[in-house]
Amino acid sequence: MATSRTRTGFSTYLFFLLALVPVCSVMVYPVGKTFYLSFTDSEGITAPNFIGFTNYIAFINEPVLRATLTNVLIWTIATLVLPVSLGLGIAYIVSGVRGSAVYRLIFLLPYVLSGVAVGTLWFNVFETNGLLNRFMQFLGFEGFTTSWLLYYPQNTFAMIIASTWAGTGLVVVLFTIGIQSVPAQTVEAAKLDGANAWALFWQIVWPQLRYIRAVVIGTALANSLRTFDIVWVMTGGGPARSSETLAVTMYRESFLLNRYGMGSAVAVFLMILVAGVSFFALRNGIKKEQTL
Amino acid sequence: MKKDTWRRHTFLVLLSLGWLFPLYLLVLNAFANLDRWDADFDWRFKGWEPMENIKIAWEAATLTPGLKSNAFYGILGAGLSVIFASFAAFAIVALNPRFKQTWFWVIYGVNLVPYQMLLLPLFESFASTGLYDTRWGLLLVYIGVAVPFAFFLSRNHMLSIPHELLEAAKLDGANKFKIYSRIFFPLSLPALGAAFLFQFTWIWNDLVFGLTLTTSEEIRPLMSTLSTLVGMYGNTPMPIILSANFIASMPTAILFIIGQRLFVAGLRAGS
Repeated sequence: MATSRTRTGFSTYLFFLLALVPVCSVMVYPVGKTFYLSFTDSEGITAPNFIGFTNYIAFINEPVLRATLTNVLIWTIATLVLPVSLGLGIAYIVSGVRGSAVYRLIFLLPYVLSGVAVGTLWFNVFETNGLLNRFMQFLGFEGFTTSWLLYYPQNTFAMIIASTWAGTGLVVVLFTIGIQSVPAQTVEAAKLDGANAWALFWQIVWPQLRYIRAVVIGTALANSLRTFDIVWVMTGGGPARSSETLAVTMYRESFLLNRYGMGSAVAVFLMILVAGVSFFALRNGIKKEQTL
Repeated sequence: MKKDTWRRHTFLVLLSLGWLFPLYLLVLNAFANLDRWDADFDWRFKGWEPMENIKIAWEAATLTPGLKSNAFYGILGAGLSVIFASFAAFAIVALNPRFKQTWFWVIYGVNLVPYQMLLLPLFESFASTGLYDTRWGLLLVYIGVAVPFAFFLSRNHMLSIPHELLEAAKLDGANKFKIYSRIFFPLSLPALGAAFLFQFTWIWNDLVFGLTLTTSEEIRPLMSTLSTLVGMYGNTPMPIILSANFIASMPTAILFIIGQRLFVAGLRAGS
């Protein structure tokens, strides 16, 4: 070990304390409570009874689960391909170009809108009598109009477009932070050696983005697995639950049907899924820390 | 080099236009003349009445208390969570504590929870502790939810601070608090600034926690007020709903316009 271990004294714990108090009271306790509720038949009014794994078994046997998991998978892959790769591409192409701040701002502007505002906007674009279809008719392309939000899987793809529009700016900014921390001398040296933009990216910039990449991919994975706002506003998970994601299932069970026990079981399932995926995605970034 | 720059600009301009188009639709429809409006979201010009629509929206949605509350939640919530998170990140990166991985996952791990899952237990515990419908209660929730990502972001940025700086400071006999305030805090300012902006925006746009944990007008955050008073599918005309959303998004938009310059400048100075 290269570093001498400083005494893990009281003052070290003091640095953790201020972060731990709000995190534990707001998040750790409710998560524990949800675990407990997932093994009960809680419906809010009467005292919950312990029913073992009944909720989990019922959830796994639901015929719609397969469609829901497929949606979650589509969202996850699409998020990695679209906002993440596109955002990285934009961040790299923008860097060093005249007016880069203006370009970055343009991509970032949708991010400042609330989820409801984004959902409302795109709902009005994609609904059957929405802007997109009327615009197609206006141009004379009647054949291309369709009920975007009423059929699977095009409803999920429509929502992915909306979410990409809203989320790419964040990725651009995060990668810009990473790209700008690449030492200018290194870039100059590589340029003098005759490296083109492509080689410069893969050989100089990409390795330097290691830590920020973990941030971006880690957040993107977690956020896509628990996609909620846009689906809730644009389709409500329908029609016939075809565009539902796990977070929507959980919300519907808990807050529309008042089946808290079942909702909690879905929540626990989703949490384990997110934790598992994130752990594998982040493992490398964390291991490297220890060789520091 | 010249040809390369041209290609970059062409690509970026086209993509930017694609990105701006939905915003153009938003503004065009928000500020359309209410008399010429015929229920359909449109790409064509239907009059331009920004002041009139903003005035109607402001009164219909009673935006003033919500804006005041949001300033409180946003500034304190994002500010405190970023500072708390940077302490914890510093401890993990520089102090080399025992159980480093455990500390990391305890603080970051809860960030993987779907937030809707917190609503019911929080509602119950808030009702029983008297935190329900209080400013400080909701602020605590925002800090708790905002700390993990701010922690993750600042930790990863602090990892890129050269270790020699830390070793040199230790040799000079600087204590932990000095190492934090003289080295790690100033050097990670760009990342902390970015974390502040993201968490401020998240808190500013929060809908569900506000709806679930508050009820009175002067406590309730902006987006929750907006959703109950305007009602997405109520009788309020679409331009007024869009105008209200436009006003509600202005503070974060301005913050990003200023903030982007700040943290990009901060990075230049650092490199």
